[in-house]
Amino acid sequence: MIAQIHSEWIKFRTVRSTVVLAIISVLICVGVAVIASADIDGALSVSNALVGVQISFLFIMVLGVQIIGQEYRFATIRPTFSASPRRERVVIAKLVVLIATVAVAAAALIALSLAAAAIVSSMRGNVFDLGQPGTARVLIGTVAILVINGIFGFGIGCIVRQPIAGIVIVLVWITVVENLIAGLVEGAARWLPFFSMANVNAQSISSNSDFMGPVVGALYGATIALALVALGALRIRSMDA
Amino acid sequence: MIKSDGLTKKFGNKTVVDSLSFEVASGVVTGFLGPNGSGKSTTMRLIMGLDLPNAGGSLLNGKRITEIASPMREVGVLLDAGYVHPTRTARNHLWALAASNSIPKSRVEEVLSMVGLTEVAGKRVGNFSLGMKQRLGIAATLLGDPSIVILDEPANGLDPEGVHWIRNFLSYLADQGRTVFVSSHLLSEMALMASALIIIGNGRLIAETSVEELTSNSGGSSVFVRSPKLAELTAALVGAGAKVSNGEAADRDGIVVTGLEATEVGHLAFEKKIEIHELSPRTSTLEEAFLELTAGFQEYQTEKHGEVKP
Repeated sequence: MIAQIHSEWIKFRTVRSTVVLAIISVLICVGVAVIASADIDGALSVSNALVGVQISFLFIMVLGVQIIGQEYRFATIRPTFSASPRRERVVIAKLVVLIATVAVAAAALIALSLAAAAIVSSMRGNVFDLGQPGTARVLIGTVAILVINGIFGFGIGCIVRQPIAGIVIVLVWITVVENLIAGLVEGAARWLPFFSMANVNAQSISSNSDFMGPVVGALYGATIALALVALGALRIRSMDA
Repeated sequence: MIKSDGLTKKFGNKTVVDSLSFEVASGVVTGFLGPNGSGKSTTMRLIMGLDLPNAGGSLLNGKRITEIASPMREVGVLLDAGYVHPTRTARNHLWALAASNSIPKSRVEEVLSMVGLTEVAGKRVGNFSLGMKQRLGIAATLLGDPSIVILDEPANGLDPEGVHWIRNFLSYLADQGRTVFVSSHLLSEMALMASALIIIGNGRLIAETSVEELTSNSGGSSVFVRSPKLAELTAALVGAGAKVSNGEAADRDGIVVTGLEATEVGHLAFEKKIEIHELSPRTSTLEEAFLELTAGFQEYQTEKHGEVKP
């Protein structure tokens, strides 16, 4: 399994699109942190500094789709499965590489965004308050949100096995489908994966009963994301490569 | 050794590979022949477990592909040179594959050198010509120094020097005792590189034979005779049990005789006191033998005026 993970790590870092997506997700959050700290008057919270995660996670989801989708797009999945015929091992190795990479990207994203926010705040004479309640939740939750969303994208990628279709599905799901269901079906929002995770990286927990608590929400979202991966792995195993 | 037993694959209602059973022995180059659409590539994908069979299966050195702990050390395969990521370099493409089977990075440099790609190993594969991609694909098959090598149309895109190289290289691999299973539509090349043949049509086995056996057994073994007394000679030959037909348009003063050896035709002419101007035995080429054997199995055929019909 270590050899398979090593192989997937080489694949990940030797293709431009995956590396660029990871870097963009970090830079966007840092850019938004600069804008937010230049715009907000008064004390700046960690949550303010990391508001760009709401955009970054979209790129992380696309990254998740791409890791498996581009193997099918360029038919490199055939040499991959010729060298490693036990397909579920390939899926697991890709998942491990994705989780590790996104976790590192998330750590970099947090560190650089906070640093940028601190610099801009101090230049403007504002206070960057790291001691506000809920700061630890924002930091840990940000890593969790990004990792779970990456797994979600990967799961969709495994199911559809086409990068463009996978990317369209995840973006439409987030921007349209969840909002539509939440608006039309009363009480459904709580069970939708992205609504359920609303409190995971929140500075203060929302009183809205539509949202699960941070830990339960994270576990629920992760369960759905991993279930999608399992479904995708079964599909990959049972279909021609 | 490769052994396929009852291999069957359907795409929708169409049976592409139909109860196909054959064995590919080690120590020789085995050619895999069949008309376009006969199921050669699908068969190779089935052997490698990439396509899932509806029935039957294949064993590689007595094991299913999923039972082999380090598959690249047992079987190397080139199905399509285009199965590469265009922004990945040749070296990284090979390294990623090698790493999955715990093959050291030093082996990557060895196989790059073997196929003559060392100088361009750091370049992105998207900029490679088909011939260079073909060499890269062959390098990938050799990474694990496997005892079985499966190649689908390896000469595609190679220049004459490259074709010569692959021919010698496959013979070299077979001489080392490896199982070499190779498909090609270049029958003249196949005649030079393969000794054993597996021929399929419409997904079914037509023949498991050798190049020598196929060409000598085909109806193409004949004798061309030129004579000023063709009518008299024809009557004598038919009387002796031979089949006689007219030659090509350019050989109107000659006939093609099957069923008798050249010496028998000469002896008969001598006995009947018929003057002959030419007596030449003709052995059919692999191409002629192949066309004869696969007549009726072609999915796409051209009519005389060039129209293609399914």
